[in-house]
Amino acid sequence: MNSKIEKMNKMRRIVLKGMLAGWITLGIYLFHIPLLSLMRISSRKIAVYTNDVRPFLEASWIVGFVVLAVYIVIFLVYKIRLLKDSSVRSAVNDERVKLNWLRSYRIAFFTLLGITIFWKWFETGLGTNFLHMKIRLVEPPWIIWFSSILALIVSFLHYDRGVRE
Amino acid sequence: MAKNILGNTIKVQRAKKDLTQEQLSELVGVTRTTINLIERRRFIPSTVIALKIAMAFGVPFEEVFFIDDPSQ
Repeated sequence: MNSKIEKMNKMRRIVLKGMLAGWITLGIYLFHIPLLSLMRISSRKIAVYTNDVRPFLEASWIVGFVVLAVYIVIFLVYKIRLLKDSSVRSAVNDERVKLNWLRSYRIAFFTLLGITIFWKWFETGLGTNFLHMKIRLVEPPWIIWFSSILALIVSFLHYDRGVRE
Repeated sequence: MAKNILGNTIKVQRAKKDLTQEQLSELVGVTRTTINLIERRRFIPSTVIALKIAMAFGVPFEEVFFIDDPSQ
């Protein structure tokens, strides 16, 4: 039988995975214009499907938003449950978990920095000469937020995975 | 110079007390993954957690944790 600590630990992983799924789905919408442009210029075989794929890509924000909203509610339930039991709360957020969050924030920060530097380079015009994509149609802050939050969640899940027995 | 690793006898102590990693994690107040990683020497715990583990087994600290010097 699983202890309460393990249940809550598992719940956190499920919530984070759900949020990640929702976030990636929202990301598909964010990048759908460059993606469609890429499809159009890649090859004639792929370009034929551009109009078929477009509605799915455009609807991805609804799916992403719903998934994210559901997991935010589950996250609130998780937080309320933790607030009721201080011993479980401190056990679930033990020193290793806190360290993992710190490492994840560091990775997210460097991702943010890397993307910002890349964007600055891209905006000088050098990037557009190398990459013939309409990535400039996406607002820069969205790309920066998207990638840093993605990096935060993915790196935490990676560090928190433990080892198999 | 070889790197020193914090060795431990958690697995042996658990077997003596007939405790699972999950039961030990409840006694110490950490997650099972943390106990698992400490046991496998993948994570070095703080002094507080290390002392709590020794207290959970009811043995002196040095019976559970020791410096593992690969050069010796």
